[in-house]
Amino acid sequence: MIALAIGCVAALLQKDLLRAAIISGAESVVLAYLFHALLAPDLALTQAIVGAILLPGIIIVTIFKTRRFEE
Amino acid sequence: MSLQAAAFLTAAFLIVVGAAGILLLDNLIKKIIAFTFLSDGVNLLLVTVAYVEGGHVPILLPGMSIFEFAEKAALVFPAGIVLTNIVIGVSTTAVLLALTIVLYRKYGTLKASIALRGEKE
Repeated sequence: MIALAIGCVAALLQKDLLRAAIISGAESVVLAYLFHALLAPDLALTQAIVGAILLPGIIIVTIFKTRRFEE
Repeated sequence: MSLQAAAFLTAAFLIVVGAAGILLLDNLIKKIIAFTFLSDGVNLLLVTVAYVEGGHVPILLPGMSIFEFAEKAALVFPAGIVLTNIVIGVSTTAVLLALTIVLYRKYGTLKASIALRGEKE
């Protein structure tokens, strides 16, 4: 849970958008483990697939179509 | 501190950080990442409400009495809502990112303060 809190603040403070997308994916894996600990393993599976692969994937596609660094 | 109380605090922190990020950050992609954090916080809040102290996963195994199952199983209705919310959140984020690409092609910048004012650089 502490990793979750640190991860979401760290992702929003990055200047490099690619790094922010990858950190948000890692934060999502921690959230999936927390769902598993809270007796919802089906949600943990969905959150792990969606949050760790699909969301950073589409964000990275958007970054490559626009620009990578925040000015 | 029990697991449920700690998860409540984490959900509150995620919601606050996501809302602050949407309101305060200037970059459009950063705003969208903050939106996913807000959505994660709401999902975690609902799952925490469904948690039963000392309970088990809501699957009826053979040899388990139905009354014992109904007493100890975690609630399933918030789990259904959260499952829907995760999938809908992904599609909403995809639409937001597509609109961001359109804004970037028109204005040539990702800063919300410039792009949403409607001036060309």
